[in-house]
Amino acid sequence: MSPSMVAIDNLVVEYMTDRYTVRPLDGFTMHAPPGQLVALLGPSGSGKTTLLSMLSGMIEAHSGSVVVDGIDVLALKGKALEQYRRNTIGIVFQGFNLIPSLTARENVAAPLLIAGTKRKVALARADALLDEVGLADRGHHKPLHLSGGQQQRVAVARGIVGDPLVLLADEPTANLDHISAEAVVELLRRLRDRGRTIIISTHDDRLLPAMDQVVTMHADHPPPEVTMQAVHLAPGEVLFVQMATSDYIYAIVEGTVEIVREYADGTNAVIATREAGAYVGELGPMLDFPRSATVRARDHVKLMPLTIEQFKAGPGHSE
Amino acid sequence: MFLLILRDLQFRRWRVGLTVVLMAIVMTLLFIMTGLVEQFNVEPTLATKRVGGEMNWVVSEGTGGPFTSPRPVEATTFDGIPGEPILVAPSSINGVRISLVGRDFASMSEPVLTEGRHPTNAGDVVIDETAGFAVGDRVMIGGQPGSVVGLTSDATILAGVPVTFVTLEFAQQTALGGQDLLLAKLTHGDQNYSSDLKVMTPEMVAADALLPLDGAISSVTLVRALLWLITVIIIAAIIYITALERTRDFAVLKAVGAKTRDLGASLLVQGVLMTLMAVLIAGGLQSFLAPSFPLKVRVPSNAWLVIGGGAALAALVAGAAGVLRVKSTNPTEAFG
Repeated sequence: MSPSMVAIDNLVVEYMTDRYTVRPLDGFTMHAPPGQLVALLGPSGSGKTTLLSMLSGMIEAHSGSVVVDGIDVLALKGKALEQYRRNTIGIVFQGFNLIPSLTARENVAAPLLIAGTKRKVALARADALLDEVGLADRGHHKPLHLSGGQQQRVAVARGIVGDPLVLLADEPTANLDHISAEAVVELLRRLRDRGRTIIISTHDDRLLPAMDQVVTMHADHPPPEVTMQAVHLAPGEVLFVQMATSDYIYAIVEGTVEIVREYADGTNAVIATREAGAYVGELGPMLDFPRSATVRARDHVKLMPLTIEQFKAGPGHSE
Repeated sequence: MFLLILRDLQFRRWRVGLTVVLMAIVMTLLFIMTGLVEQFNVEPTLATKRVGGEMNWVVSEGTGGPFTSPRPVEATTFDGIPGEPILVAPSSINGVRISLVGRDFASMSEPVLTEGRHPTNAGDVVIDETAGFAVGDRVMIGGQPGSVVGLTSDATILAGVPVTFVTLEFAQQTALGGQDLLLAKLTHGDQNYSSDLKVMTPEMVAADALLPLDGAISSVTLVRALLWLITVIIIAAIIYITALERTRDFAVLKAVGAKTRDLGASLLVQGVLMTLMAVLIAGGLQSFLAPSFPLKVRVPSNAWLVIGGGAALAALVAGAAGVLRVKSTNPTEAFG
């Protein structure tokens, strides 16, 4: 097996939002050899863009390792990071994100011009790349005068202008019609054939057959085994903690539970209580989200775990 | 980075144009206000020179200043004092307020004429050219008929009141009903001739003539300060709005390797370029508008440097908010 161009191991990324911590990547592992087209598949919020930002060296990790072409990305700082961004990776942003005031060729040449390449050389390289992506006659057009597909191809050309080993593309076919999307995928496959590792994020599973590797970003949990064993908790005992993987929905048979939001500064607050006859922890399993709060017993509590199907078939559910 | 600045200015040309015109209008007012303050400040000095050259004024002790509170006294009061007798009195010409100066003109080159000749006969009038008369015009001066025989320049006082030169006898006849009174004697000496008389240097005469304009000068100075404030606010607002609008652009450029320092500098250079364009337009506009002002607008040559440099500096300071915006832009924002 060829060595990995991109090696991500046990990556944990945490950030704080609205006082509490979320963990879009929790122990994420992925390896991609050179010349592979990899799709990160997952719904919004599953950590696809976070992973691309991570690979770009734009955000820091809580733990784990990210190695690209032998470079420890998490250890990069200052000029080394700039150099990495400039020489090792190329980025295609969601929604094209071309600079509206620049022509197509100037947009493509922008990273080189910023790096100090002579204007004539940079623009010649841009022209060559625009020719390669089939837009040789559109070089002097502003983004406003290009179709979505054309803008995306300009964005791809900009992404590879520095001849990077790894190209990252965030939702490269979003907002494109199927003809434009096909052209973009075809372009990415051609670039892959030249030895580049290309990692795209997508939530469009129609692209998957064209990929060499698909990485599913949301945890693929097996259906929980139905035990129907009642759970008994003493006062203060925890049923599940915030950010834990969601499994069951619980029907409260006896007693009262507290729903506690834990904040990044170490404090927590009771945001609701549920009593016998109500349910707790319904949305996590249904949405396949991690638990959004901790649930603990206020007094002696008896709960009955239910699968989603059992919950839906039940007499009703709580608010 | 220069390409980025140029292209962005082109891309936003309508807004840039509108902003530059708006700034230019404010700066035109700034030029004109500066010219007015300059005129207020130099007018008494120039007029004093036109009337008495570099000579000192021997006046009665009760005279505050020759142009502000003239108190003519018997001509005999000045007996024995060497110099040129002079009378200054408020009067009117064709109903317009003037400062009437009666003097002998044979011994002095002042007032320097732009046209015509000095007064030699009763009724001969030399007046500042801003009064709008031409040589040969027949006028009524203090109820007496006269004729304009010459024009001079820089001879206004008290914010545009034309100084009008006639012979001493005609001035006495017109302003004093023929009484033999004098305001002063112009002399090269500076000694105290008697306890009833005092000596005023041309600088003292000019300083006294400036006093009534203190309020006007303060007001115009305040307006100037407000115009500066408006200029800074316009520049700051435009740079900040531009930074806000270009947040995504900055994020993308940062993500592809641009330094915060370079992006911030490009924003500031853009602001400075717009400001300097406005200064150039304002300079042209003020020279077009200034002649239509009733007061002479005397824009000093250093005003270009002060207004241009000051506005550029204001653009740099005002642009700080925009630069902070650039600094706080996270390249991850480029991911959408």
